[in-house]
Amino acid sequence: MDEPYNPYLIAAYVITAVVLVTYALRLRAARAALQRRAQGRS
Amino acid sequence: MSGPGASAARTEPQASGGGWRAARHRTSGPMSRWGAPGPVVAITVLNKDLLLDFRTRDRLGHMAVFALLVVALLSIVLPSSPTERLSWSPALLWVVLLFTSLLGLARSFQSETEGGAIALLVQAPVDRGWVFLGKAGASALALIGVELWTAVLFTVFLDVDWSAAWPQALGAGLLGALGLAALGTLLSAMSVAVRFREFLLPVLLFPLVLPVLVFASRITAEALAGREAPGQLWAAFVLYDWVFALIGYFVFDYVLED
Amino acid sequence: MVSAIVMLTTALATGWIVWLSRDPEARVASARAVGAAAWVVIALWLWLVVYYAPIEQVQGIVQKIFYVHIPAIIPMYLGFVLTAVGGIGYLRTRDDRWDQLAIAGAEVGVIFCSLMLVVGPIWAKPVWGHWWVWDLRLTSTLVLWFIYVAYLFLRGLAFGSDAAKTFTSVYGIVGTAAIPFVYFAVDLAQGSTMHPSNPAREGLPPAMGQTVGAGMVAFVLVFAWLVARRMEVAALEAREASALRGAA
Repeated sequence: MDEPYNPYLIAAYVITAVVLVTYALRLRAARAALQRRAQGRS
Repeated sequence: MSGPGASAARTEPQASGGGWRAARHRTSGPMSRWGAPGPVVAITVLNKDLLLDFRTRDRLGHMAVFALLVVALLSIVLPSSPTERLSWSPALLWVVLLFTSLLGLARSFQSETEGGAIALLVQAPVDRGWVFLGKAGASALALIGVELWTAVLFTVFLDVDWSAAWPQALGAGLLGALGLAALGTLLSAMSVAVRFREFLLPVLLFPLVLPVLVFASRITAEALAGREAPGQLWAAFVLYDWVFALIGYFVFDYVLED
Repeated sequence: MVSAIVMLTTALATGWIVWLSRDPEARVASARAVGAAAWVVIALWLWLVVYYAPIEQVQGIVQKIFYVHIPAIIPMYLGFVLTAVGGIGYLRTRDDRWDQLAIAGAEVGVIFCSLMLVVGPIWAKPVWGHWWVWDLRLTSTLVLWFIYVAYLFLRGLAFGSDAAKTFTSVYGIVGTAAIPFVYFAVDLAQGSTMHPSNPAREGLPPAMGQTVGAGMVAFVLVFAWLVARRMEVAALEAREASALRGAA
């Protein structure tokens, strides 16, 4: 399996990227929601 | 059922009485900064738990029946040529013990919560680490009882011959009981306050207790094969029990507060 | 040289995380710098993976999964360390900030642990022919994953009760303490391993070493950034919870 576009290889890197980016986005969304609610209270 | 609750309340207050041993010590020499010397507390708690076990036969009886059931079931289901049996019996023994221990550990704090004695336990001016050791000790003894029973079952149902293997097997049984009891008591105390504890206790316990299973079943396997288990293995086992007994001792204070 | 850089980065990142845990909301601004650094190293690492790292003889190009699999190891362990440290800190001081450190460590740690369990088999299948083998590395990582998950379950089920933070602190401590025993036990139980033997001990060709080193630095920075953000969210949640309690 020497073609540069080996599916396993791609899958490994893509999954890693997707998982980490998704988590980061969820954190950002949570932070935004919490800050909005905090604004609403003050 | 007033039995367990009543006896718990009766023998519980180490602070005020704790039994004749504690009273005697308190009027004599120096002791710990708490009301009663640590080991005495531990033994008192242990005695009370054991008394409970023997009087009601709840915990021990249930564990024994459960072990019988599981061993019988698995003996029927698993391949049973003598060589195959020899390969899986040691591990099976310990898996059975693990599941049976769950029954016993879940009960560990049941009498206290039902009788409302947890509050007494918390308020008693004793070093709570010793309470932990007492409770864990009682569970360990119950487990040893179940182990002996299970060993008998294995001889009856699976033709396991303990005659040459019993010293090492006994050692493994002791260390295994202590390890399971230490972690199990600590985690059981925590899961008492939480929802879904039948689910939670195994989920919390099993990964941490994997080394016990491996060490104990390996020693047992070596013993049954007529070999000596390596010293390194014993050392690791003892270290494991020591580490978690120590952690339990130091941490139990905080656990009981909540 | 490479391992020195990796260790230095790990130490600095850990120190930064602990410093940040003292006041997540105010200090999280420094996360921007860390994030930017992470992007730079990621770019470097990817370039190295594609253009610099050699194509290995036996496995072919699939071997390059190595560069995304190995770097997840340090964050996985770091997560446990933070959870244990946070747990000890909380038990001794009852200061919520330690608890926030612990939960951040656990959540981000479990992510990297899960990644190892997913990427590992993706690598194993083309190379060894099996998705899963019960060898020392994979098995221990699986048990570690169970410990992480148990911690998160405990937290979820206990949530809201006063005891939750205490209990998870305790579990964080015993969970981390169990790790060396788990390794020893699994090693004993499994015997030989199919895993490629530890290259650090055998010595990697320099190009490979540098590439994986870059990956490790990148992942540590990403880990630190994620932990920082997670602690910020935890601090905001705590603030909201106390505000609601105060109002009620």
